[in-house]
Amino acid sequence: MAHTVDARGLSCPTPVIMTKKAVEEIAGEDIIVIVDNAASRENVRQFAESVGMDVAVEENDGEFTLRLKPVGACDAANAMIAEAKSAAKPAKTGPVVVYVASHSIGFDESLGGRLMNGFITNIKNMDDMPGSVIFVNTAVQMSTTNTETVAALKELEEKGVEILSCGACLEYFNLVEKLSVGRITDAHTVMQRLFAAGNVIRL
Amino acid sequence: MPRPDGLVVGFETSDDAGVFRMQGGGMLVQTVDFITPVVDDAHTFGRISALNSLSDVYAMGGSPMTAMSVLLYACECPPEMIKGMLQGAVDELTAAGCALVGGHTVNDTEVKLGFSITGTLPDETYYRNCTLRDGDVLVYTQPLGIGILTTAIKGDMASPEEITRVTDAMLLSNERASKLLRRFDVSAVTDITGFGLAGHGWEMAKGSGVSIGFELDAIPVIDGAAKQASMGIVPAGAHENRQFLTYDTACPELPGMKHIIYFDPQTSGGLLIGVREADAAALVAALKAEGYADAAVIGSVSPKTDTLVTFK
Repeated sequence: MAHTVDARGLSCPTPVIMTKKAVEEIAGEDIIVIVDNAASRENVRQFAESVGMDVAVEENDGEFTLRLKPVGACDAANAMIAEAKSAAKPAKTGPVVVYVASHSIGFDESLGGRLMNGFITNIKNMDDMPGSVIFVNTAVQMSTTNTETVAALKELEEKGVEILSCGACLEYFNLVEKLSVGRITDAHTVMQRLFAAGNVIRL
Repeated sequence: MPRPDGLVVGFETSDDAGVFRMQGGGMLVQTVDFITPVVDDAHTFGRISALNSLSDVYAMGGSPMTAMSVLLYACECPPEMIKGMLQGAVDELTAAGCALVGGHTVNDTEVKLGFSITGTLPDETYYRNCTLRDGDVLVYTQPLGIGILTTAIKGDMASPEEITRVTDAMLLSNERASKLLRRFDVSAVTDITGFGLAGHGWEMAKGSGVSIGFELDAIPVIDGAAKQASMGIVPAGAHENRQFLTYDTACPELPGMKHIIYFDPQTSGGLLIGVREADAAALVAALKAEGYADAAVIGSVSPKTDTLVTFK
């Protein structure tokens, strides 16, 4: 699941400024940037490369979708998550961890919210249960104000799945009091779960 | 359209201004240019806009005489902002000995200000952009990077030092440089504006039937512009210029997109001067003495090949 910056219809330097803001706010995450002119495509690509991200560009009908992946020494969080992923892959023995960093899936936010509800409520139907489901950034809505996902997560918790919500994120969105399922966690615990995971599924 | 008898320089070679010989003698130099804001301060923007418009007359070797304003703004604009812009412009026009005689104003969402300038030539000598000679060298009076740094200002990404440096560059009038030209064996002149160094160099080469080589290491660049370019803070016009010049311009891809600086649109840029090699050092020294601290020989002219402009 990647954060999306829709910079269509905007001219330089606005798409770069929007991308910069997104990178700063959600360090360590994939970011998708959509622009509709070649100049902005080049500028966003250059910006992403300058902060150590990998860039893949797709063109479709005059629009450009840039997928930005944090791979370099962008900041500590990027490095840690990248390390966690690479450390987790060869092991393949630990539990599955579902890592959710947004309230929405894909380009369209309104559709994305519904998709997220559908995906979360379907975890319980899988053959093997994950060890943990971790919510960070705007994804903390899932364990607080979103009644549909809260109900689904309670079922998972009863099956022994650990439901973790990022404490700093709950505080940031003023949702600490609203936590309805699972427990508050911190960066250390999140990293422990990711490092120990056999497979990290990112929504 | 039949060519009028008095028309000396028309639009055929994309020159900086038209030149028209009046009945009874005297040569008129005429141009119009208007721009969107490049700095936050209204008075400073007015000054830059006036200098940018005057520059086309200076690039022809002329002396500005009268100005007509072209002003577009939304009626909600604070009146003190409009007043500040026009005061800044009038300050520069007055310093240039150019009289503001009128103008026209139109309602528009984004502010635009510029001037149609009419100048005269002191004698029969004027400087076209299409008369470079094989063997000339090219002198430029300013550092590049104005478009990149004003884009950084628009994005709130420019440091105070960068804002000062780019503003100083735009406020450097081409008047004194223009007045020096007659003392040297100068073949052709243009001012570097929207098409960047590469684009205006291309126009000079194409019009003159020659090729131009620019020395990357010799071209002065404003401190901070390369860093901004490396972060993708580049105006769309720079990419468009590069795209337009794909086929007959050769410029290496440099790390951090530094090559885009040579395509960067300049507002109130400097003069690119073709001069006999033997006169180049003296011209650069004279320019430096007149306050053009970054004036330098940046390239040379050679017989025409398929590649009109080469950066190496």
